[in-house]
Order: sequence, then C-alpha cells, then structure tokens
Amino acid sequence: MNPFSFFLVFLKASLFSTGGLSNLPSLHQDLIANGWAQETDFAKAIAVGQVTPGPNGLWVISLGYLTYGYAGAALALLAIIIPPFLVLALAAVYQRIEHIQVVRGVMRGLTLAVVGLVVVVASSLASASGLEWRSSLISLTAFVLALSNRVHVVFIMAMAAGAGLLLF
Amino acid sequence: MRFWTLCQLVPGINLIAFAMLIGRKLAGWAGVAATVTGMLLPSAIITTFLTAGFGLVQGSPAFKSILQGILPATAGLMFVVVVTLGRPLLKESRQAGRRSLLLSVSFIVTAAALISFLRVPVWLALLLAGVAGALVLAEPAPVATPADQAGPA
Repeated sequence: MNPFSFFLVFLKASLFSTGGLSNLPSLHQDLIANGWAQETDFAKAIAVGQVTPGPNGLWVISLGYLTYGYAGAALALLAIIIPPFLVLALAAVYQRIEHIQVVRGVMRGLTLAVVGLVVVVASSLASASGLEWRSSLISLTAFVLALSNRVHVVFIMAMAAGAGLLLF
Repeated sequence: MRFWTLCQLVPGINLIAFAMLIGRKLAGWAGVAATVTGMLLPSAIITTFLTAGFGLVQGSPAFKSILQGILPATAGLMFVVVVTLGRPLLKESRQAGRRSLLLSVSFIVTAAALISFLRVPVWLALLLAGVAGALVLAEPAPVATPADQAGPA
C-alpha cells in the first residue's frame, strides 16, 4: 500500500465531504475497491467514532488505523485537517459571495446527494451483516432508539454489543 | 454566526474550520495551530488507542459475537443519519412547493442510483450534484422584511 495514495484517498473523501459521516461513501468505495478495508472495518471505525471525544468525524482516524496502522491514523488525521483551511481563504471574500444564488444551489445539491450516498452505504452495511432476523432486529432497534433521541449512541452500541453476545 | 455560516461552505469537519477562524482572529497563525491542535490531538490519540485496543481482542469468539451485534446496529445508525440529514431538506422543499420537493427527491434518488447501479465514483457524483444544484436549485438568500428588522414595540 502506497502511503501517498492512501493519503490521497482520505484527502479526496474529506474534500468532497461536509463533515460527520459524509466522507463515508467515498472512503467506502475507494478502500473496498482497492482491497484495503472490509465492511467490518467501517463498522468498527464508526462504532469507535461514536464513543470517543472530539468533533464528529474523527472516526476516519480509527479507519486509518484499521487499514494502515499508526501511519494510517496519522495520514487520516492530516487529510481531515487540510480541507477546513479553505475557510481562512473564504473568510476574506465571503461578503462578496454569501448572497450568490449559485453558491446556495451548489451546497444544497451536495447535501441532497450526500443523503442518497449515505443510503447506499447504510444498505451495504446492512447487507454485510446478513439479512436474517437477528441482525434485522438489532438494526431496527438501533434505528428506532437513535431516532427517538432519548438514548445516547454510546448506550445503543453497548446494547448492540450485548445483543451480539446473546444472539450470536 | 457569520463564522459558523462560513464553515458550512467549506468541505470537511465544520468544527475544525470554526476553530481555525477563532484561532486566527485571536492570535493569527499561532492561534490556528493552537486551536486545531487542542481540538484534535487528544481526541486523535484516544481514538487511535481505543481502536488498537479493539485489535487486541478481535480474535476472541466473544468479540466476534459483539461485532455481529455492532455491525447491524451501525447500519441502523446510518439510516438515522439519512433521516437526520434528509428530513429538514425535504421539509424545506415541501414548503417551497411541489417542484422543489420533486427536485430534492430526484437529487437523492439519482445520487444513490449513480453509485449503486452505474458505479460512478463518489467524487464525480458529488461534482455532478454540485453543478446540477447550481443550475436548478439556486435560489436567493432569504431577505429580512421590515417586520423582522423592527425591534420590540
């Protein structure tokens, strides 16, 4: 695995993302296609990302570690730091572009597309876990609990882990 | 608020961009370095070591069972992300009218189809979405009305 190519994969994903899990589709596509990661790596990384402190989006560091060790974690960290630097350049010209309709249209188009892409990744993760009643039950329960906003994600993952021990 | 709006316009994690703006305002480039390091370094270290900890136990049968529980739960959480991201957009589109709602749904479905069936690279799908958004989704920023601008009576 070429570290520069590895870094570029993560950088590209960050450049076309809007934070959180929006870089997931790009990373999922590239890392799986190159044979650098498996579905379980993404599940582990996302799970770790839910329980560790810091901004939402540091799960890629976990993914970097799972796919390329400590070097991968460092490269992933560097890759997520670089794109936000654009804000410093944007701040200088913002007043001239904030009301431009095209800018708003681009952002809206991107956000809508990300929704569609995350659907694809979610479906892929669901398929990887197997479409049988135990996995479906855990998936549906996690969905309902998370959507209710009454149960913290940490507890949902802990319950899922417990369910895995009981059912599998 | 202006800083936060700016952060929505750049790629990547919004909070990192926000930290950069705050750091730059307070102490120039040294401030940027301080805020980004403070925000990311401890979290990155904890994240890495926690992941490494997973690696130590991943061979055990118990861990494999745990993973079989976590994997579908993650899929469920991902669908929540879809709802969380999509619901306000679709609600806003519905309020704007049927055409706007139809366009929004079309964007979501087309993006999913491009990736799933046509195996289009994600970066290309997003680029096309950005261009299409510029062409068909561009709308003026909300204009404050006199009622908005007037203070309390």
